[in-house]
Parts: sequence; structure tokens; C-alpha cells
Amino acid sequence: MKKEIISSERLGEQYTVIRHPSGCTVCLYPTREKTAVALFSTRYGSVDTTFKTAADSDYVTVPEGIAHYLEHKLFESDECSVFDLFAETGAQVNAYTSFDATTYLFLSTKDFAKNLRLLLDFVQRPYFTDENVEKERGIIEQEIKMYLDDPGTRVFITVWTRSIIITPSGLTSRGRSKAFKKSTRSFSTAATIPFTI
Amino acid sequence: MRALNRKLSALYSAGIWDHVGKSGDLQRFGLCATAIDDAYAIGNEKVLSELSETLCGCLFRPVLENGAFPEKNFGVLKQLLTDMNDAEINDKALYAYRRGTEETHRGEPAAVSMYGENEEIRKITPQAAYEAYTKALRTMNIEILCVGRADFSDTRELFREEFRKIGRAALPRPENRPSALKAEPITVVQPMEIAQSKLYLSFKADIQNRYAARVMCELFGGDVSSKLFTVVREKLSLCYYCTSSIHPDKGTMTVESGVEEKNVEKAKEEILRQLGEIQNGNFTGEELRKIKNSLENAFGAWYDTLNNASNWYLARILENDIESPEERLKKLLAVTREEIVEAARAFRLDTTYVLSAGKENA
Repeated sequence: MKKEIISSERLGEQYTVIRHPSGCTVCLYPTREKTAVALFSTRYGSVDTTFKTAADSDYVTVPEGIAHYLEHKLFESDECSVFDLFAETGAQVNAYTSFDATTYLFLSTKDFAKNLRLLLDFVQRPYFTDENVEKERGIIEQEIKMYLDDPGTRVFITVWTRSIIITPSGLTSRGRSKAFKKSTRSFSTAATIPFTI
Repeated sequence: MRALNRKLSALYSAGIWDHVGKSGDLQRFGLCATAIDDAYAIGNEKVLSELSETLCGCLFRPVLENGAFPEKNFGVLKQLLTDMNDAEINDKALYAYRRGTEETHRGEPAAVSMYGENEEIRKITPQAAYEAYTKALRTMNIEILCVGRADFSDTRELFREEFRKIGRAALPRPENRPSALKAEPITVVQPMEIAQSKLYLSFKADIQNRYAARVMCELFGGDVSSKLFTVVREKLSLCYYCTSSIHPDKGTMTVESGVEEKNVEKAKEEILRQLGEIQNGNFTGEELRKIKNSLENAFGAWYDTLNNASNWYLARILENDIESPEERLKKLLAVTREEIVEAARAFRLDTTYVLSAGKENA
């Protein structure tokens, strides 16, 4: 494990970067602010629809938009909604999916350690049922439609998907509303692929 | 502009920008400036002092041409302003909120667009604008907020001297007036070729306890523990967002959501049902505790950014009730279950505005 401290005498600040042999990078940056933020991010985004590990004989393909759907679905646990768990401390919890990464985060002004344990736990303990996958469909469809009405987002997505990122059908980071033929099996496949954290 | 940009670049990319906004009936406009603290200046330059002087130069000695704003620049800025008005429609949620506010407050200053109407903007001459500006400097209520770790005493003296020179004769401070409830709730549906309908509801009340009203609004649709999030979004899957916000000085509470056209009525019914739940005291101690946890977390962050801190105190000045975030939080956490029910019962539906994606309306 490599540990590096980057500091500035003039700014009176420093941060530490730790590189774990697994490929996971941990960055710790203490600040004077009361709000603490923790992000848990993986290099798995909307363009990652086909993949295989060294142990697999062939590639696995999952439906478009599944990274974003997965981002939503990790907010469920076998006991309650993850939002409920963070509501105990009052922390704000959120997540976002880009072309090449999915990130989960929280902001809190107290109980940092407790919130961090919650974050690490819920992201690594997916809980899918047919019922909760189905429940999310309406929410995600409305999120997609909200962005469809935004000209700036449409221009951005169109330019990136058609001229820079080459994908079969112009993926968006949220998928397309008609590509929602998901199953819990698809989620399980995507959730167990060992992308770098 | 080029000289100003050069000056700001030399001050470590300092920024000066205009600010236009509304707080209910009140129109705000002003200039903001930001720069690094002197402690970080590599050459030990007096950044704050130079920035303060530059800001004063913009305010008190604008570039003039024959006793008015330069014609060419003025025309460009007028075009920019009308373009901004025309572009409002690009942000459907913001547009729906603005239109909903217009219907809620019809006939009140709160209904007027913060940038003015294009027809009026096109009539303004450089001379008339300059005269209005000099009058504003003399007569309008002006607030100066300085936020940061620096010692602002020299800045304060600089502004004091500049304002002394022009001779201030400030008008009385304008105040928001509570908005009267309509005799019957109205519904306005505006069709548009869009993918998702926007639903806006406004409620009005004679708010007696603004702290209770705030906690009630949080419980109703403030965050992920609220009734609207847990039921309208999570349980019924009707939307991606459904939030409420309160405007105590106008006595209004608003709800905004983006929903499928066929679900507009269903979402509205559920939103009203959830308000009814609070009015009937149907919420648990655990729900209330979570809402207060969330408030405690949010209020702890007020001083984390300079913008947060200045926005907080500007809002308190306009409310005529200056208190720190800590003082306000203490009052919010002391709000009781009974006070929340009472606050909720005071609200009545006033306006429903729908930006409709329905083809039958197109």
C-alpha cells in the first residue's frame, strides 16, 4: 500500500493519497469546514455495457442504462430504504452516474464515521427484488423525461454520443426510457463485475 | 470592459458580477465581488483593497458617453436581457415555477418578472437608465455584506465615503405583504410540446408561527424523509422530484413536481392527501425526529461557503429578523407536534398551475 502526503506550507493545508494494491485509491483531505463529504466511486458508467473478467470465457452484455438503474437500486437494503438509514444522522445522501463512473456520496456536519460506514456498506451490499426493481422504473422514466426537456442536456448528450464516444446507439448516462426491459438477473450481473473502486 | 477584465486578472482572477433576484414582492439588484484572501497573494499584494476600489469604481464612476451609458454597450446589454427572458422557457421547471408564481400573486409585485418584460426593456434609453441608476444609488435601500476572514474596516470606510459624496436620501424600507387567498382555488393549464408535465401548487395561510410553518414544510416535502418524497416518489413512483418550499413573508407554501401527463391529477390528489395527513396529525415521532436531524445537518453548513453566509444574512435583513443560523435552528428544533399540525391546518390551496405535455391540449 503506497501512501503519499501532498502539502502546501503557504496554504497551510495537506491531503493524503493512499493507493491500495486492489487498485482502490483513497484520498483524505481534512478541511476547516463543518461539512464533511465522502465519495465512494467506481469506474463503471453508462458506456460499460459489455465486459468480461479473466475467469469468464465470453463477454456479458447488459441492457443500456443499467449503470444508472443500478445507482438507483443500491439505495435499497433488506431492512429499509437507505435514505431512512441516513435520515437517522440527518446526512444528505446522493449518487450520480456519468459515462465512465458511478459515484455515491454523502454530506454531513456530524456523525461522519457512522455515515461513512453506512456508505461503504450500502454500496457493497446490493439488495434486488423484482418488486423493488419495478418500483424504480417510474422514477427513472421521469428523471429521463425531465432531461429530455432540457435543450442544454440534449445538445451535450447528442454531441458526446454521436461524435466523441462511439457506442452502438447513442447511450445516455441514464439510458433511454424504452430500454427498460430489466430483470433482477441483469442487475446481479452488473453489480458483481469487479470494476475498480 | 477590457480594462476591467485586465484589472481583475491581475488580482488573481478576481470576479465582479451583477446580481438580480426577487424575494417575494421585493426586487433585488446589486454587484458582487470576490477574490482570494490577501494571505494567499504571492507578491503580498493588497487584493481586498484593490478589489474594493475597483468595485466602487464600477458603482460610482461607470463609463459614460454624453452623460448617459454608452449607446453601443447599452444596446448589447438590452439584447442580452431580452434574450435571457426568451431563454427562460428552456428550463421547464424554472419556467413553470415562474408562471405558477405569476398566477399565485397576480396583481402583486411578486408576480412581476425580475428582469422586466421585453416590451418595456426595448423602450429603455441609455439616458433614462442612467438617470434611474443615479436615483437608485441615492434613494434605494442598500445593504453591504462583507464575508471572509479579512479585516473589512478599510472597505467599510471606502464605501461610507463614496456614499457620503453622492448624498444619500434613502426611501423607507419596502416590505413584503402577505398574499390574499383567492375566493376559490384556480387551475391554469398551459400546453407545451414537452416530454414531462410540470405541476405547481401554491397554498396560502396567515402564518402565525414561521418556525412551525418551516418545520411543517420540511415534513411535507423538504427532503428524503418527507411525506412527498417517501410517498409520491418512493411508494407510488409518480415522479423523480416532488418538493415543497415555504415563503413566510408572503404567507405561501409551494409544491413542485415533474410528472407524466396522465398522472397529473393522481399526483395532485396524493400531494393534497399528504398535506391532509399532517393536518390530521398523522405523522410519527420518528418522522419528525428525522426531519429535525436533517435540519440540524443542513444548518451546520451555513458558514461553509461565503455565498451561504452572505445569502443567509441578506435573507434575514429582508425578513427584518436578523438572527444567526444557530439561533434559528434552536427555535426550529423546539417546534412541537401540535404547532406543526396547527401550522398545516392554516394552509389552503390557492393555485394549481400545470405546464402540460398533453397532446390533447396542444
